[in-house]
Amino acid sequence: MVTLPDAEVAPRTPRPGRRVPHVPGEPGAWIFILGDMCVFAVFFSVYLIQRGHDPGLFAHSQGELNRNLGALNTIFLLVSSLLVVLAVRAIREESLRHLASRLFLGAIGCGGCFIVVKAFEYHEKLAAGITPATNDFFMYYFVLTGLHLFHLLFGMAVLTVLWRFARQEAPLSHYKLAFVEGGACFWHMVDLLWIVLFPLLFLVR
Amino acid sequence: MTRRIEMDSGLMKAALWTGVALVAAMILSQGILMHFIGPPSPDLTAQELAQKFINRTGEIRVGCLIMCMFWGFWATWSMAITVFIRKMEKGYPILTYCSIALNGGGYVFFILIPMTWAVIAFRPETLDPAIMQIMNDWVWFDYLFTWPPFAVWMVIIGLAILKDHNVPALYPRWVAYLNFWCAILIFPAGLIVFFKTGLFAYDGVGAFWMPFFVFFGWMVAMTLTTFQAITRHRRTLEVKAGIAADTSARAL
Repeated sequence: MVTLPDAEVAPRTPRPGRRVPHVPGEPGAWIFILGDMCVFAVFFSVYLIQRGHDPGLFAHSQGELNRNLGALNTIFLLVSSLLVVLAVRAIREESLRHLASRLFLGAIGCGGCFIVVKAFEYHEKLAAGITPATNDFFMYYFVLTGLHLFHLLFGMAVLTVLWRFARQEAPLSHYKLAFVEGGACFWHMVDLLWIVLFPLLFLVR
Repeated sequence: MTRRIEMDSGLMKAALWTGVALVAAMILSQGILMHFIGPPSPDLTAQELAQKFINRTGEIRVGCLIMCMFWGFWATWSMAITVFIRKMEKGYPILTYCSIALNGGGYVFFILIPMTWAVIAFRPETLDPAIMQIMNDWVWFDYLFTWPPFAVWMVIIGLAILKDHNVPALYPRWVAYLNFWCAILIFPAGLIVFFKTGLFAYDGVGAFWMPFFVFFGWMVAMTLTTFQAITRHRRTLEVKAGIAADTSARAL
Protein backbone atom coordinates (compact mmCIF):
# COMPACT_ATOMS: atom_id res chain seq x y z
CA MET A 1 0.00 0.00 0.00
CA VAL A 2 1.28 3.45 -0.77
CA THR A 3 1.81 5.67 2.22
CA LEU A 4 1.74 9.35 1.44
CA PRO A 5 4.01 11.75 3.30
CA ASP A 6 2.06 13.07 6.24
CA ALA A 7 4.93 15.28 7.36
CA GLU A 8 3.88 17.98 4.93
CA VAL A 9 0.38 18.18 6.27
CA ALA A 10 -0.18 18.47 10.02
CA PRO A 11 -3.28 16.55 11.12
CA ARG A 12 -5.58 18.71 13.14
CA THR A 13 -6.08 17.57 16.71
CA PRO A 14 -9.42 18.68 18.10
CA ARG A 15 -9.76 20.21 21.54
CA PRO A 16 -11.42 17.72 23.85
CA GLY A 17 -15.15 17.74 23.23
CA ARG A 18 -14.94 20.06 20.17
CA ARG A 19 -14.96 18.96 16.53
CA VAL A 20 -12.66 20.89 14.25
CA PRO A 21 -14.76 22.50 11.53
CA HIS A 22 -13.38 21.66 8.12
CA VAL A 23 -14.48 21.28 4.55
CA PRO A 24 -14.73 17.58 3.77
CA GLY A 25 -12.47 16.23 1.06
CA GLU A 26 -9.95 18.21 -0.93
CA PRO A 27 -10.30 21.41 -3.00
CA GLY A 28 -9.80 19.45 -6.21
CA ALA A 29 -12.70 17.17 -5.39
CA TRP A 30 -14.98 20.19 -5.05
CA ILE A 31 -13.91 21.58 -8.42
CA PHE A 32 -14.98 18.24 -9.81
CA ILE A 33 -18.26 17.93 -7.90
CA LEU A 34 -19.48 21.50 -8.30
CA GLY A 35 -18.35 21.65 -11.90
CA ASP A 36 -20.23 18.47 -12.70
CA MET A 37 -23.33 19.81 -10.99
CA CYS A 38 -23.12 22.93 -13.15
CA VAL A 39 -23.00 20.80 -16.29
CA PHE A 40 -26.05 18.87 -15.15
CA ALA A 41 -27.80 22.14 -14.29
CA VAL A 42 -27.29 23.21 -17.89
CA PHE A 43 -28.74 19.93 -19.16
CA PHE A 44 -31.72 20.24 -16.84
CA SER A 45 -32.33 23.81 -17.97
CA VAL A 46 -32.19 22.78 -21.61
CA TYR A 47 -34.72 20.04 -20.87
CA LEU A 48 -37.08 22.49 -19.19
CA ILE A 49 -36.81 24.96 -22.07
CA GLN A 50 -37.48 22.24 -24.64
CA ARG A 51 -40.42 21.05 -22.58
CA GLY A 52 -41.82 24.57 -22.72
CA HIS A 53 -41.82 24.37 -26.53
CA ASP A 54 -43.93 21.23 -26.70
CA PRO A 55 -45.70 20.66 -23.40
CA GLY A 56 -48.31 18.36 -24.90
CA LEU A 57 -45.82 15.87 -26.32
CA PHE A 58 -43.73 15.89 -23.16
CA ALA A 59 -46.72 15.37 -20.87
CA HIS A 60 -48.08 12.57 -23.02
CA SER A 61 -44.72 10.78 -23.28
CA GLN A 62 -44.11 11.23 -19.59
CA GLY A 63 -47.22 9.15 -18.99
CA GLU A 64 -45.40 6.14 -20.44
CA LEU A 65 -42.75 6.20 -17.73
CA ASN A 66 -42.88 3.79 -14.84
CA ARG A 67 -43.10 5.96 -11.75
CA ASN A 68 -42.98 3.06 -9.35
CA LEU A 69 -39.59 1.96 -10.61
CA GLY A 70 -38.38 5.55 -10.44
CA ALA A 71 -39.56 5.87 -6.85
CA LEU A 72 -37.95 2.56 -5.96
CA ASN A 73 -34.67 3.79 -7.35
CA THR A 74 -34.99 6.97 -5.32
CA ILE A 75 -35.33 4.91 -2.14
CA PHE A 76 -32.31 2.78 -3.05
CA LEU A 77 -30.13 5.87 -3.51
CA LEU A 78 -31.35 7.59 -0.35
CA VAL A 79 -30.60 4.47 1.69
CA SER A 80 -27.19 4.15 0.07
CA SER A 81 -26.37 7.77 0.91
CA LEU A 82 -27.38 7.16 4.52
CA LEU A 83 -25.11 4.14 4.67
CA VAL A 84 -22.24 6.21 3.23
CA VAL A 85 -22.75 8.93 5.85
CA LEU A 86 -22.64 6.31 8.59
CA ALA A 87 -19.61 4.64 7.01
CA VAL A 88 -17.61 7.88 6.90
CA ARG A 89 -18.49 8.57 10.51
CA ALA A 90 -17.47 5.03 11.45
CA ILE A 91 -14.18 5.21 9.60
CA ARG A 92 -13.13 8.18 11.71
CA GLU A 93 -13.90 6.60 15.10
CA GLU A 94 -11.41 3.92 16.18
CA SER A 95 -14.10 1.96 18.01
CA LEU A 96 -16.43 1.84 15.00
CA ARG A 97 -13.93 1.36 12.15
CA HIS A 98 -14.81 -2.30 11.68
CA LEU A 99 -18.33 -1.30 10.68
CA ALA A 100 -17.22 1.06 7.93
CA SER A 101 -16.37 -1.58 5.37
CA ARG A 102 -19.72 -3.32 5.79
CA LEU A 103 -21.57 -0.03 5.51
CA PHE A 104 -19.73 0.80 2.28
CA LEU A 105 -20.57 -2.67 0.99
CA GLY A 106 -24.21 -2.00 1.77
CA ALA A 107 -24.08 1.23 -0.19
CA ILE A 108 -22.51 -0.59 -3.14
CA GLY A 109 -25.30 -3.14 -2.88
CA CYS A 110 -27.92 -0.41 -3.07
CA GLY A 111 -26.17 0.97 -6.13
CA GLY A 112 -26.31 -2.47 -7.66
CA CYS A 113 -30.04 -2.66 -7.01
CA PHE A 114 -30.45 0.70 -8.72
CA ILE A 115 -28.68 -0.65 -11.79
CA VAL A 116 -30.88 -3.76 -11.90
CA VAL A 117 -34.05 -1.69 -11.66
CA LYS A 118 -32.73 0.70 -14.30
CA ALA A 119 -31.95 -2.19 -16.64
CA PHE A 120 -35.48 -3.46 -16.15
CA GLU A 121 -36.88 -0.01 -16.81
CA TYR A 122 -34.88 0.44 -20.01
CA HIS A 123 -35.83 -3.05 -21.16
CA GLU A 124 -39.48 -2.21 -20.61
CA LYS A 125 -39.16 0.84 -22.87
CA LEU A 126 -37.15 -0.84 -25.58
CA ALA A 127 -39.48 -3.83 -25.67
CA ALA A 128 -42.37 -1.40 -26.24
CA GLY A 129 -40.48 0.06 -29.21
CA ILE A 130 -39.47 3.27 -27.42
CA THR A 131 -35.92 4.38 -28.19
CA PRO A 132 -33.89 7.58 -27.76
CA ALA A 133 -34.88 8.50 -31.30
CA THR A 134 -38.63 8.09 -30.72
CA ASN A 135 -39.20 11.73 -29.86
CA ASP A 136 -37.58 14.66 -28.07
CA PHE A 137 -38.88 13.70 -24.63
CA PHE A 138 -37.47 10.21 -24.88
CA MET A 139 -34.17 11.56 -26.16
CA TYR A 140 -33.87 13.56 -22.95
CA TYR A 141 -35.14 10.68 -20.85
CA PHE A 142 -32.57 8.19 -22.15
CA VAL A 143 -29.69 10.68 -22.31
CA LEU A 144 -30.24 12.22 -18.87
CA THR A 145 -30.82 8.90 -17.11
CA GLY A 146 -27.95 7.39 -19.09
CA LEU A 147 -25.57 10.17 -18.06
CA HIS A 148 -26.71 9.74 -14.48
CA LEU A 149 -26.17 5.99 -14.71
CA PHE A 150 -22.64 6.57 -15.99
CA HIS A 151 -21.97 8.77 -12.96
CA LEU A 152 -23.42 6.08 -10.74
CA LEU A 153 -21.07 3.47 -12.19
CA PHE A 154 -18.14 5.82 -11.61
CA GLY A 155 -19.44 6.36 -8.08
CA MET A 156 -19.59 2.62 -7.47
CA ALA A 157 -15.95 2.33 -8.49
CA VAL A 158 -15.13 5.10 -6.00
CA LEU A 159 -17.16 3.35 -3.27
CA THR A 160 -15.22 0.16 -3.98
CA VAL A 161 -11.97 2.04 -3.36
CA LEU A 162 -13.44 3.42 -0.12
CA TRP A 163 -14.45 -0.11 0.90
CA ARG A 164 -10.85 -1.23 0.30
CA PHE A 165 -9.56 1.67 2.41
CA ALA A 166 -11.98 0.79 5.19
CA ARG A 167 -10.64 -2.74 5.32
CA GLN A 168 -7.01 -1.84 5.87
CA GLU A 169 -5.58 -2.49 9.31
CA ALA A 170 -3.55 0.68 9.75
CA PRO A 171 -5.25 3.99 10.44
CA LEU A 172 -5.82 6.02 7.28
CA SER A 173 -3.37 8.72 6.29
CA HIS A 174 -4.53 12.29 5.99
CA TYR A 175 -4.78 12.07 2.20
CA LYS A 176 -6.70 8.82 2.25
CA LEU A 177 -9.20 10.24 4.72
CA ALA A 178 -9.61 13.28 2.49
CA PHE A 179 -10.22 10.96 -0.44
CA VAL A 180 -12.82 9.04 1.57
CA GLU A 181 -14.66 12.25 2.34
CA GLY A 182 -14.39 13.49 -1.24
CA GLY A 183 -15.52 10.14 -2.59
CA ALA A 184 -18.49 10.11 -0.21
CA CYS A 185 -19.42 13.60 -1.38
CA PHE A 186 -19.29 12.42 -4.98
CA TRP A 187 -21.73 9.64 -4.12
CA HIS A 188 -24.01 12.16 -2.41
CA MET A 189 -23.87 14.22 -5.60
CA VAL A 190 -25.01 11.19 -7.60
CA ASP A 191 -27.91 10.82 -5.17
CA LEU A 192 -28.73 14.52 -5.35
CA LEU A 193 -28.75 14.45 -9.16
CA TRP A 194 -31.28 11.62 -9.12
CA ILE A 195 -33.45 13.47 -6.59
CA VAL A 196 -33.66 16.35 -9.08
CA LEU A 197 -33.87 14.11 -12.14
CA PHE A 198 -36.72 11.91 -10.90
CA PRO A 199 -39.29 14.66 -10.37
CA LEU A 200 -38.07 16.53 -13.44
CA LEU A 201 -38.57 13.63 -15.83
CA PHE A 202 -41.18 11.52 -14.10
CA LEU A 203 -43.40 13.88 -12.16
CA VAL A 204 -43.37 17.52 -13.24
CA ARG A 205 -46.25 18.31 -15.59
CA MET B 1 33.31 17.84 -13.92
CA THR B 2 29.66 18.77 -14.55
CA ARG B 3 27.12 16.70 -12.67
CA ARG B 4 24.04 15.79 -14.73
CA ILE B 5 20.60 14.88 -13.55
CA GLU B 6 18.79 11.86 -14.97
CA MET B 7 15.99 13.89 -16.59
CA ASP B 8 16.62 15.64 -19.90
CA SER B 9 14.19 18.50 -19.34
CA GLY B 10 14.91 19.86 -22.81
CA LEU B 11 13.59 16.73 -24.47
CA MET B 12 10.70 16.46 -22.02
CA LYS B 13 9.64 20.00 -22.85
CA ALA B 14 10.06 19.39 -26.57
CA ALA B 15 7.71 16.42 -26.26
CA LEU B 16 5.14 18.68 -24.59
CA TRP B 17 5.52 21.28 -27.32
CA THR B 18 4.59 18.66 -29.92
CA GLY B 19 1.17 18.56 -28.26
CA VAL B 20 0.85 22.32 -28.62
CA ALA B 21 1.75 21.89 -32.28
CA LEU B 22 -0.93 19.22 -32.57
CA VAL B 23 -3.64 21.60 -31.36
CA ALA B 24 -2.37 24.47 -33.53
CA ALA B 25 -2.29 22.21 -36.59
CA MET B 26 -5.85 21.11 -35.88
CA ILE B 27 -7.11 24.68 -35.80
CA LEU B 28 -5.31 25.45 -39.05
CA SER B 29 -6.11 22.30 -41.00
CA GLN B 30 -9.41 20.98 -39.64
CA GLY B 31 -10.81 24.43 -38.96
CA ILE B 32 -9.49 27.03 -41.34
CA LEU B 33 -8.71 24.85 -44.33
CA MET B 34 -11.26 22.06 -44.21
CA HIS B 35 -14.11 23.88 -42.40
CA PHE B 36 -14.66 20.74 -40.34
CA ILE B 37 -14.65 22.30 -36.88
CA GLY B 38 -18.29 21.94 -36.55
CA PRO B 39 -18.87 18.63 -38.36
CA PRO B 40 -21.30 18.54 -41.30
CA SER B 41 -24.71 17.42 -40.12
CA PRO B 42 -25.32 13.66 -40.18
CA ASP B 43 -28.74 14.59 -41.51
CA LEU B 44 -27.34 15.80 -44.86
CA THR B 45 -28.09 13.73 -47.92
CA ALA B 46 -25.22 11.84 -49.52
CA GLN B 47 -25.26 14.26 -52.42
CA GLU B 48 -25.07 17.34 -50.18
CA LEU B 49 -22.19 15.83 -48.28
CA ALA B 50 -20.33 14.85 -51.46
CA GLN B 51 -20.65 18.44 -52.62
CA LYS B 52 -18.80 19.63 -49.53
CA PHE B 53 -15.81 17.51 -50.50
CA ILE B 54 -15.99 18.55 -54.14
CA ASN B 55 -16.16 22.25 -53.25
CA ARG B 56 -13.06 22.23 -51.04
CA THR B 57 -11.04 19.37 -52.51
CA GLY B 58 -7.74 21.27 -52.59
CA GLU B 59 -8.07 22.66 -49.08
CA ILE B 60 -9.06 19.27 -47.70
CA ARG B 61 -6.10 17.52 -49.31
CA VAL B 62 -3.58 20.04 -47.95
CA GLY B 63 -5.30 20.15 -44.59
CA CYS B 64 -5.17 16.38 -44.33
CA LEU B 65 -1.45 16.30 -45.10
CA ILE B 66 -0.78 18.82 -42.34
CA MET B 67 -3.09 17.12 -39.89
CA CYS B 68 -1.56 13.69 -40.56
CA MET B 69 1.91 15.09 -39.90
CA PHE B 70 1.01 16.71 -36.60
CA TRP B 71 -1.54 14.34 -35.17
CA GLY B 72 1.03 11.56 -34.81
CA PHE B 73 2.46 13.83 -32.11
CA TRP B 74 -0.21 12.53 -29.78
CA ALA B 75 2.28 9.71 -29.15
CA THR B 76 5.15 12.00 -28.16
CA TRP B 77 3.04 14.39 -26.09
CA SER B 78 1.41 11.59 -24.13
CA MET B 79 4.78 9.98 -23.39
CA ALA B 80 6.03 13.10 -21.60
CA ILE B 81 3.18 12.63 -19.15
CA THR B 82 3.80 8.86 -19.09
CA VAL B 83 7.39 9.43 -17.95
CA PHE B 84 5.95 11.26 -14.94
CA ILE B 85 3.39 8.51 -14.36
CA ARG B 86 6.41 6.21 -14.11
CA LYS B 87 7.98 8.56 -11.60
CA MET B 88 4.80 8.80 -9.54
CA GLU B 89 4.01 5.13 -9.17
CA LYS B 90 5.98 2.72 -7.04
CA GLY B 91 6.79 -0.89 -7.78
CA TYR B 92 5.69 -2.73 -10.89
CA PRO B 93 4.72 -0.08 -13.48
CA ILE B 94 1.13 -1.15 -14.21
CA LEU B 95 -0.16 2.42 -14.67
CA THR B 96 2.81 3.27 -16.89
CA TYR B 97 2.30 0.23 -19.09
CA CYS B 98 -1.43 0.96 -19.37
CA SER B 99 -0.56 4.51 -20.35
CA ILE B 100 1.84 3.36 -23.06
CA ALA B 101 -0.62 0.83 -24.42
CA LEU B 102 -3.55 3.26 -24.46
CA ASN B 103 -1.59 6.02 -26.17
CA GLY B 104 0.20 3.71 -28.56
CA GLY B 105 -3.25 2.98 -29.91
CA GLY B 106 -4.50 6.51 -29.44
CA TYR B 107 -2.37 8.17 -32.09
CA VAL B 108 -3.53 5.58 -34.63
CA PHE B 109 -7.15 6.69 -34.16
CA PHE B 110 -5.92 10.25 -34.51
CA ILE B 111 -4.16 9.92 -37.84
CA LEU B 112 -6.84 7.69 -39.35
CA ILE B 113 -9.05 10.79 -39.26
CA PRO B 114 -7.12 12.93 -41.78
CA MET B 115 -6.14 9.82 -43.71
CA THR B 116 -9.77 8.88 -44.32
CA TRP B 117 -10.74 12.41 -45.31
CA ALA B 118 -7.82 12.41 -47.73
CA VAL B 119 -9.05 9.19 -49.29
CA ILE B 120 -12.54 10.69 -49.69
CA ALA B 121 -11.00 13.81 -51.24
CA PHE B 122 -8.86 11.70 -53.58
CA ARG B 123 -11.60 11.09 -56.19
CA PRO B 124 -14.60 13.05 -54.94
CA GLU B 125 -16.19 13.63 -58.35
CA THR B 126 -16.31 9.98 -59.33
CA LEU B 127 -16.74 8.29 -55.96
CA ASP B 128 -20.31 7.17 -55.18
CA PRO B 129 -21.81 9.73 -52.74
CA ALA B 130 -23.30 6.93 -50.65
CA ILE B 131 -19.80 5.54 -50.08
CA MET B 132 -18.48 9.00 -49.25
CA GLN B 133 -21.25 9.37 -46.70
CA ILE B 134 -20.33 6.12 -44.96
CA MET B 135 -16.66 7.10 -44.93
CA ASN B 136 -17.44 10.55 -43.57
CA ASP B 137 -19.66 9.05 -40.85
CA TRP B 138 -16.81 6.67 -40.07
CA VAL B 139 -14.41 9.57 -39.58
CA TRP B 140 -16.69 11.32 -37.12
CA PHE B 141 -17.23 8.12 -35.22
CA ASP B 142 -13.44 7.68 -35.14
CA TYR B 143 -13.20 11.25 -33.84
CA LEU B 144 -15.88 10.98 -31.14
CA PHE B 145 -17.05 7.41 -30.53
CA THR B 146 -13.52 6.32 -29.61
CA TRP B 147 -13.55 8.44 -26.46
CA PRO B 148 -13.21 5.52 -23.93
CA PRO B 149 -9.45 4.80 -24.09
CA PHE B 150 -8.82 8.50 -23.58
CA ALA B 151 -11.16 8.61 -20.61
CA VAL B 152 -9.43 5.56 -19.15
CA TRP B 153 -6.08 7.31 -19.58
CA MET B 154 -7.43 10.39 -17.79
CA VAL B 155 -8.46 8.18 -14.87
CA ILE B 156 -5.00 6.58 -14.87
CA ILE B 157 -3.35 9.99 -14.75
CA GLY B 158 -5.61 10.93 -11.84
CA LEU B 159 -4.80 7.72 -10.00
CA ALA B 160 -1.07 8.20 -10.51
CA ILE B 161 -1.25 11.74 -9.15
CA LEU B 162 -3.21 10.71 -6.06
CA LYS B 163 -0.74 7.89 -5.40
CA ASP B 164 2.32 10.06 -6.02
CA HIS B 165 4.96 9.27 -3.39
CA ASN B 166 7.41 12.00 -4.40
CA VAL B 167 8.21 14.87 -2.05
CA PRO B 168 7.39 17.43 -3.31
CA ALA B 169 4.59 15.94 -5.40
CA LEU B 170 5.00 16.24 -9.15
CA TYR B 171 1.49 17.57 -9.76
CA PRO B 172 -0.92 19.47 -7.48
CA ARG B 173 -3.70 17.13 -6.37
CA TRP B 174 -6.49 19.10 -8.05
CA VAL B 175 -5.10 17.99 -11.41
CA ALA B 176 -6.12 14.43 -10.49
CA TYR B 177 -9.70 15.51 -9.88
CA LEU B 178 -9.70 17.54 -13.09
CA ASN B 179 -8.74 14.37 -14.93
CA PHE B 180 -11.53 12.38 -13.30
CA TRP B 181 -14.00 15.10 -14.24
CA CYS B 182 -12.87 15.32 -17.85
CA ALA B 183 -13.12 11.54 -18.18
CA ILE B 184 -16.81 11.83 -17.30
CA LEU B 185 -17.38 14.94 -19.42
CA ILE B 186 -16.34 13.34 -22.71
CA PHE B 187 -18.82 10.48 -22.27
CA PRO B 188 -21.60 12.19 -24.30
CA ALA B 189 -19.46 11.72 -27.42
CA GLY B 190 -20.61 8.12 -27.25
CA LEU B 191 -24.23 9.07 -27.81
CA ILE B 192 -23.73 9.95 -31.49
CA VAL B 193 -24.73 6.45 -32.53
CA PHE B 194 -28.32 7.07 -31.49
CA PHE B 195 -29.07 10.40 -33.17
CA LYS B 196 -28.88 12.12 -36.54
CA THR B 197 -30.18 15.46 -35.33
CA GLY B 198 -30.21 17.42 -32.12
CA LEU B 199 -27.92 17.86 -29.16
CA PHE B 200 -26.32 14.43 -29.34
CA ALA B 201 -25.86 13.98 -33.06
CA TYR B 202 -22.20 14.16 -34.10
CA ASP B 203 -22.60 17.83 -34.94
CA GLY B 204 -24.51 18.60 -31.75
CA VAL B 205 -23.53 20.74 -28.78
CA GLY B 206 -23.71 17.86 -26.33
CA ALA B 207 -21.87 15.22 -28.34
CA PHE B 208 -19.38 17.32 -30.31
CA TRP B 209 -18.81 20.83 -29.00
CA MET B 210 -18.72 20.04 -25.29
CA PRO B 211 -16.38 17.01 -25.55
CA PHE B 212 -14.31 18.92 -28.14
CA PHE B 213 -13.68 21.88 -25.85
CA VAL B 214 -13.27 19.65 -22.80
CA PHE B 215 -10.72 17.42 -24.54
CA PHE B 216 -8.56 20.14 -26.01
CA GLY B 217 -8.95 22.30 -22.91
CA TRP B 218 -7.75 19.31 -20.90
CA MET B 219 -4.75 18.99 -23.25
CA VAL B 220 -3.89 22.63 -22.57
CA ALA B 221 -4.26 22.17 -18.81
CA MET B 222 -2.13 19.02 -18.81
CA THR B 223 0.52 20.71 -20.95
CA LEU B 224 0.76 23.69 -18.59
CA THR B 225 0.82 21.62 -15.40
CA THR B 226 3.36 19.21 -16.89
CA PHE B 227 5.65 22.09 -17.83
CA GLN B 228 5.44 23.17 -14.19
CA ALA B 229 6.07 19.61 -13.06
CA ILE B 230 9.22 19.44 -15.18
CA THR B 231 10.55 22.64 -13.64
CA ARG B 232 9.65 21.52 -10.14
CA HIS B 233 11.11 18.03 -10.55
CA ARG B 234 14.27 19.32 -12.16
CA ARG B 235 14.94 21.45 -9.10
CA THR B 236 14.33 18.44 -6.86
CA LEU B 237 16.76 16.31 -8.89
CA GLU B 238 19.37 19.05 -8.89
CA VAL B 239 19.24 19.37 -5.12
CA LYS B 240 19.48 15.60 -4.82
CA ALA B 241 22.50 15.51 -7.14
CA GLY B 242 24.10 18.29 -5.17
CA ILE B 243 24.13 20.66 -8.13
CA ALA B 244 21.79 23.26 -6.62
CA ALA B 245 23.70 23.16 -3.35
CA ASP B 246 26.93 23.77 -5.24
CA THR B 247 25.42 26.76 -7.03
CA SER B 248 24.27 28.36 -3.81
CA ALA B 249 27.67 27.72 -2.24
CA ARG B 250 29.41 29.44 -5.14
CA ALA B 251 27.06 32.40 -4.86
CA LEU B 252 28.09 33.11 -1.29
